[in-house]
Amino acid sequence: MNRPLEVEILLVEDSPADVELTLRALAKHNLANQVHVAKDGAEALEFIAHSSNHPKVVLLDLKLPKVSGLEVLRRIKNEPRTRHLPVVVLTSSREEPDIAEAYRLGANSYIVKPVDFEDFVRAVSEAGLYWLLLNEPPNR
Amino acid sequence: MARPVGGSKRRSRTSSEERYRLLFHNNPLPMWVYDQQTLAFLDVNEAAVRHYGYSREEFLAMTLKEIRPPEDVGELMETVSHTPGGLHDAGVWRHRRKDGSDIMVAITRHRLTLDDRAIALVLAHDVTEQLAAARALKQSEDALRQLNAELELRVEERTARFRAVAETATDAIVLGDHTGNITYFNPAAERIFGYSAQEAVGQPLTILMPATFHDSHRSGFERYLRTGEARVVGRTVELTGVRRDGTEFPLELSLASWRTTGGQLAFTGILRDISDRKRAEAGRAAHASALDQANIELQAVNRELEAFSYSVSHDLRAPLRAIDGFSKILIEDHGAALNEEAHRLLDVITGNTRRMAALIDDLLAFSRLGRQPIAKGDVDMTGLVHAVASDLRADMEARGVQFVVDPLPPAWGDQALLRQVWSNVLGNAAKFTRRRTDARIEVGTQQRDDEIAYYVRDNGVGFDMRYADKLFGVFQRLHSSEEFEGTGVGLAIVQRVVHRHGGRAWAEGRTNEGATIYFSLPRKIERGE
Repeated sequence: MNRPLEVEILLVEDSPADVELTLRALAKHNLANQVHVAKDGAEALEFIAHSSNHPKVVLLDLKLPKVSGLEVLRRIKNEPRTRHLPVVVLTSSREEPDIAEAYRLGANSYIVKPVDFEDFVRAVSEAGLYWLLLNEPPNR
Repeated sequence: MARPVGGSKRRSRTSSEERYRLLFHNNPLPMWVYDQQTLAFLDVNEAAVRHYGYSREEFLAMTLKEIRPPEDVGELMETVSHTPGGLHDAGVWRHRRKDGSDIMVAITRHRLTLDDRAIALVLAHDVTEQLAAARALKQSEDALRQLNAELELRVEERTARFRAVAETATDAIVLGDHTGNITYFNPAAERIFGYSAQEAVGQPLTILMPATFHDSHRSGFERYLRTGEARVVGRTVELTGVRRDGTEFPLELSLASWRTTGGQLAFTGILRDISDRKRAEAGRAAHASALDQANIELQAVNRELEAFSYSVSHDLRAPLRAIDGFSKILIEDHGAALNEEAHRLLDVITGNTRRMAALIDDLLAFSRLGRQPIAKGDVDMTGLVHAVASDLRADMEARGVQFVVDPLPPAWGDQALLRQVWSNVLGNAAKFTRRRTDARIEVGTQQRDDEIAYYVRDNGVGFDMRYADKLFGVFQRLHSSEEFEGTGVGLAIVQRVVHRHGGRAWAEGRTNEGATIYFSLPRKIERGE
């Protein structure tokens, strides 16, 4: 009966558990309704290429099947049409080379997923709130 | 002009006079006739006038004495008085010419009697030059003889010197002739090749090389003799030698050629057995290649380690997050339906996930330590201790811990890593004194010759020295998690950092009386590191 809501968050994540935890964290702040989940990098790029309206933020895991997260990031930031799309790297990796490479490619944030659930909920929802509600994107 | 003595008989003796004129006046050698009694010149020929510089008239007014140097006159007179009349007389005399110059003259005298007077006919042959030439010849002969003697002496000395050098040289010295035969073989050559000099001399040089080299030696030798084209002469080359017993060995040959006095080519070879050097080189090469191999393996291990820690970092955390997250969700969504024991069990699960997460973080930090490069500089250790302690101060002040820091000498090391060391050591001291009301932590140094040992002493729970070696192992703990929290990586990190600085770490302690953790760092070496 409702027409589908516009996608505001693209969650790129291959782990179903992490998808569920992330959605739950977003739901705590009513941010979970307009989330599209891509299970690998190829699916994410496909979604971005075929959606008329871009999401307000991409939550991107780095370790993904098919096309890696860093490659997804690189393609988003290299494409003039999607360059302004905010990308928040949300990953388990705390390794310095990953962080450096992500920022070099133009990541807007880099968040290490906390193991502790309360910390995780806080981190994800703060990021969601910031990019969805506070950030003022350029006119498209 | 011919004018014979006794002109009265002139006409009757025309033919005789003619002969006399030819023989006497035209004779190319000086001649004269003198009176044996008075020694007065009775006649002189043209050659005499020319040679002595006196005119004929002057001659005829002189005696023999006047063509002698005054000092020779005595001898002349003696000779005259002692010489009985005879037909021939000959001798070499010194005469003085009118210009005062002396000449040596070979005299041939023919005595005869004319009109009862004893006269003498003299033929004077100037031999000054011959005598001078003879004298010069003799002198140069003498000089030559002298030179020769000197040369012989020098050759003898040279030979002695050569022998002294050759006989004591540690290198083999072998001389060869143009036929390719050995002409000299020094003691070192005897030692190296196993032939006596007596055996070797006269043998072809090829006895010193393996058979496989004989052909190339002969062709090279012949080419050199024929064209002078040298491949070995004048250089140092490495070859293979063969001993008398047939064993082969590597040698270094320096070969020179020279010409004998007979103009024949000869060769001097200086040979050195380089077996030891070759062995050492091979050893070094093997060692280097082993090092290279180890290095390659190490790099592979490092890459693997990196991949491993990446996996640990990523893949081990994700399930933990799920365990923790879903446990919390269970409580959130179904907490009301769970009894107290179920809540306790879920707490145990989440407590362990936290602990596991801490272990992973520490393990990764520890593994990073081994890989990250060390950036050394001067480090103000006193400042570092106070900076680190400020993080612990709130806790320590609340407990009334007595914290004493001696002035610490600066260290030469990586500031960030040394900060980690102090943080772990001081954190331990704070942790293990927690149960004491009179806790005391001291920081100080012990100066040694080439290193500085820093220490942190506490009066906490201490440890049993029997387990001292376990203190610095990864995940080694001497207390239960209930007693004191921790992953058992702190001192392992301390030890690794200190080792990477070239220092060491150790500990002293007694159960319930406290512990002292030491770590030493090498002193700064001036001029680089």
